[in-house]
Amino acid sequence: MVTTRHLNPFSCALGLPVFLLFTAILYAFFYNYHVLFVEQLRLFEWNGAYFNETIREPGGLSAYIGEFISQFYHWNHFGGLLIAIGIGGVCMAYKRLLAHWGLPGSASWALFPAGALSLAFLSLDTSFGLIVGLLITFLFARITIRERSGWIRRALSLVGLPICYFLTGAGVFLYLGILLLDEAIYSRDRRYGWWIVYGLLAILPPLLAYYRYDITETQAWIGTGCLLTGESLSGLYILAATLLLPPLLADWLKGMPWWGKRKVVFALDLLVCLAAIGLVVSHVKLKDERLYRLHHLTAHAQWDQVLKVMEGESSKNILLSSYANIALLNKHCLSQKQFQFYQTPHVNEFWSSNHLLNYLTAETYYQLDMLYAARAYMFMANTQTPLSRSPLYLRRLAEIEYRRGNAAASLKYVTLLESTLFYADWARDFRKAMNVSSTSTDDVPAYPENDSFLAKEMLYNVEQHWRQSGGDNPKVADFLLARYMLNNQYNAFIQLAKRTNLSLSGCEAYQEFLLMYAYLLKDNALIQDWGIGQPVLERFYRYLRINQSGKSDEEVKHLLEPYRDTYWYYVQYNKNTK
Amino acid sequence: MRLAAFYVFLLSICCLSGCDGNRLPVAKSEWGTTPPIYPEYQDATIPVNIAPLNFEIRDEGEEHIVQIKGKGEPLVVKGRGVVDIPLRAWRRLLGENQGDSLSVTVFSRQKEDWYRYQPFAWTVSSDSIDGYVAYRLIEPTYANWNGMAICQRDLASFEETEILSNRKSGNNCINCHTFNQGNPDELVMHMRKVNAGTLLIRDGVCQKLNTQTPYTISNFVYPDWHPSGEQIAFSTNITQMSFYDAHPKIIEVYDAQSDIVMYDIQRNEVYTSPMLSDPDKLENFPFFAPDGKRLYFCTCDRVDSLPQQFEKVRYRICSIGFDLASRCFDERVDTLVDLTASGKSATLPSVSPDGRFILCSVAPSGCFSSWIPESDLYLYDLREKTVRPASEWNSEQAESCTSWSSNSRWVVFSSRREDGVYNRLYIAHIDASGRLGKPFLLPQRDPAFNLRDMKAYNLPRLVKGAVRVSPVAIGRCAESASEKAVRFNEQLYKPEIHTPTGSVSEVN
Repeated sequence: MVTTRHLNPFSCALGLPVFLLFTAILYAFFYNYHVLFVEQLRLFEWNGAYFNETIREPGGLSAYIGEFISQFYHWNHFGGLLIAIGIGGVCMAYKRLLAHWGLPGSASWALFPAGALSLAFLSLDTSFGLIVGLLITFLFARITIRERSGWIRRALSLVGLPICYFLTGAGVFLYLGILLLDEAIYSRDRRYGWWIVYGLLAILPPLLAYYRYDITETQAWIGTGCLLTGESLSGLYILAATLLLPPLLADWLKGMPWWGKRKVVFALDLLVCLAAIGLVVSHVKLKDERLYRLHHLTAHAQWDQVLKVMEGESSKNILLSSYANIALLNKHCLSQKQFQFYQTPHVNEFWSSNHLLNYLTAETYYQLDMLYAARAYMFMANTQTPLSRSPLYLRRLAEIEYRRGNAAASLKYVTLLESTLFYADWARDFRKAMNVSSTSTDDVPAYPENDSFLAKEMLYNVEQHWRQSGGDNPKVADFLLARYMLNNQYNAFIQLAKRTNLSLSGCEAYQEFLLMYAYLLKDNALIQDWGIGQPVLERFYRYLRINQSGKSDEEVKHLLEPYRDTYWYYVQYNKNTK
Repeated sequence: MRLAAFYVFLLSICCLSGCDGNRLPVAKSEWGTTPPIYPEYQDATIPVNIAPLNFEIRDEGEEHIVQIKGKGEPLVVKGRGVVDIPLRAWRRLLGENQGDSLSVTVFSRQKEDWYRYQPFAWTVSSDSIDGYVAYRLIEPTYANWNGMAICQRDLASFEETEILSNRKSGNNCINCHTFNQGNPDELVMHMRKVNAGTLLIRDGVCQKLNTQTPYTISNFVYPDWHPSGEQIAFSTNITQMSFYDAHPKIIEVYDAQSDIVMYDIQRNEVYTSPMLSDPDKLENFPFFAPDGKRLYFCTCDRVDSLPQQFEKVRYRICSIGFDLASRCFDERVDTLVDLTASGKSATLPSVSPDGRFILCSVAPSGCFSSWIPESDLYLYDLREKTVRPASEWNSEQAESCTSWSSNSRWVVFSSRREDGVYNRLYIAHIDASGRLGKPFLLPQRDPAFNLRDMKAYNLPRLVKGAVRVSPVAIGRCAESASEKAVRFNEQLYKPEIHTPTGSVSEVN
């Protein structure tokens, strides 16, 4: 048996602890909003029914434990620690496996799966159940390969393979791989007949599971615990390679004369660690992280923070701008400051099957008190999440349904949230508030209805809502002004401005908009009527001069960069982009 | 000796425990009401072969004991708020009390005292219900979907299995599953968007059909099998959807055009009749009389300005004679149910297998009554030629989509009465004279299941047995690129196909 004395040259291998620390820091501080967003894509229920539903499918136990742990992503930064600990646990189990085979350098070899796992968790699709599945698989493998007696080992394998499949899903293939490696490398007991039997026991359960369960073919093979949707399989393939190839490599290197020298070990360890860190860093998508950060801040109504994050954002990303628009709407300055960000003609209204776009549309309508519209889109958003249950969307649906007068539907979502860990308090308070309100019919005002139909794209009529609600909702007015500007609806803007006694002075965006109108009408008198300021006029003339300079389109665009925050730039470059 | 004494002691303990298990508590007092339970199963009439009616007791009690008593040994169940009735004992009890009543008494322990509620009754009908009910599970969403499945539920237990999940057919929309007189071996269903087509399953074989022809306005839509199993009536529809800006109805679904065609399975031919494809009328929802000699259907005058004039879309139920051998329809259409004068539209009809009754869904207008809260079930007596609301079955929310058991004594229908959003299935008894029993919610192992389930139950169909073709086989057929194109038989009647509105179906 290999002891730590034999492994002494490798005690200088610090790569793994360094890499785990890197992973913890990455997911706790640089990718934490991804992790928070992942928590929003599932709903762990503390009841027997959820337990039964989850574990009955292949990989169910891994999925259940993984979902249980994923709940704690709710605490910002903590998810990173959990992921690092999970990966560390897998690496420790892997190290012990390699040590059992007498393969030196186990700590360094463990860097390979550590890197693969850290890479895998960059994807929203990866579940913590993957780590749980790996740990369960290593447990099965350890119990089996430590058994010296041939017939007991066979029996354990025969029983363990199908059970491992049922508990972990894809873990059965890793278990199979470890069994084969053990017989090929360690015990040199190569009985090909038994290998065929093992292979059949690994393949048959997934084949049968596809017939038995309401799961996709991919889920039948990998189980329900590894991936949320089963779409990003490449991470699993890489992980499998990093788990099964190193023992072969280590066995081969064992014979090399230079293997085992302290300097070589240290250098290789450092190299692998740096390579793993570099690989993970190269796949980090900071733009997406910004998006999820905005999502989190919006969900928590931290409008100032949203705008701070968006400061200086120059990319043409309508998603990012939509979050900023919601923040501006809540601060009653959407129409005044919208051009600080990239805009398109339909402000925050998306007709899409993407749940995030539906959420943004829903949230916009919700802020405008358009509850039917908010309900429609929030329902679609929830439906489109991978498991059709998002705590954020359900919470909003509960609020919307209650305000719409459908307490029974609201209670349904409240009941679901009451069975969770982190949303139960909110749900119970909400239920109490509902019960109190229900004693008085005056408390929940009847929500205005109408018989109008929508256009085919399911875009709701904000103008009608404005009229029906008495024309005194400042957020709706702000939204409409913003939309009129985005769609060059000059007359509508002027009428609404008059109706709401809008003050044009002090708001450059309004002045830019009206100045353009005056320019198109070639009516300079309007400039004075509307009180357009000299600085705006001068800026406009400079803008025109650049446009009329005769330079190429690219040069003109480059020269107009300082005018990105103007209405004129929007009209010229952004209005017609799709 | 000592060992024997030990065994006797152990046996005694067991016997005493057994005795304690069935002993009812002494109630401090009786409350003058029946217990607040969910679902509301009080006074329901139930089939002899139904799964246990597990329920929750919604009071402050810390412990509950429920006694279900009829002929034979009473059943006693203990629990904390949830009454989980053992399946075997339940079946025995129902079997012994077929045609009789069961009395259900609930005891509730609050602090240290037991209280007894007034008992309520379950009437065990001697009529059994078909073994399975098939339905589609889908989120009741607007214009998108995620996972959906057509499932079958064993009504004598809680087992639900998949007939086809869209996870096996390309994440598409699967719908309109219809059986031939409840025969699980003859099934037709459609798929939309991805892998579009019609799946025809007969005698273990699944076939995919391409149902577009130059003489039909759309793919096949609402089906109904001719009892012979040789032909299927389908509607063809140009369906539009319009969403309300701010209205509880949420959506209106209507047809710009619709016709009815027949599909001859053996000949792979489609044909129709001028009485069923009038361009100025909307013919829809075909369904055959049990003897196959008449085709019932819904019809209304076509309305051009939709959705604005939606309230003018009012269907009535008509019938026309049909001869299978000659594949001919009569030239005369009879009107059976016409509520248009009273401002109502009758759609989604179903006929009892004994040919006595027609159930339909009645709403102020339109044909897609599932989303209309005012939609109620109406019962038409074919013998007496009378129609009345099925008041015992109706609620403030929408009732729609009925299905009859093969003995014509049970009906399953969908209702949104729980929360106005999620359709749930209700089972109700109807006797030979048309007397309606109280409907009860499809029982679930966990009575609170419906409170957390986010899927709606669409289009219930009572089926005599389980579909035996595996979901994987159906899924492979669904995803298969090879499909059989149906032919239109122009010899019989060739309809004019025109699109006066230039409408394109949003659904079919």
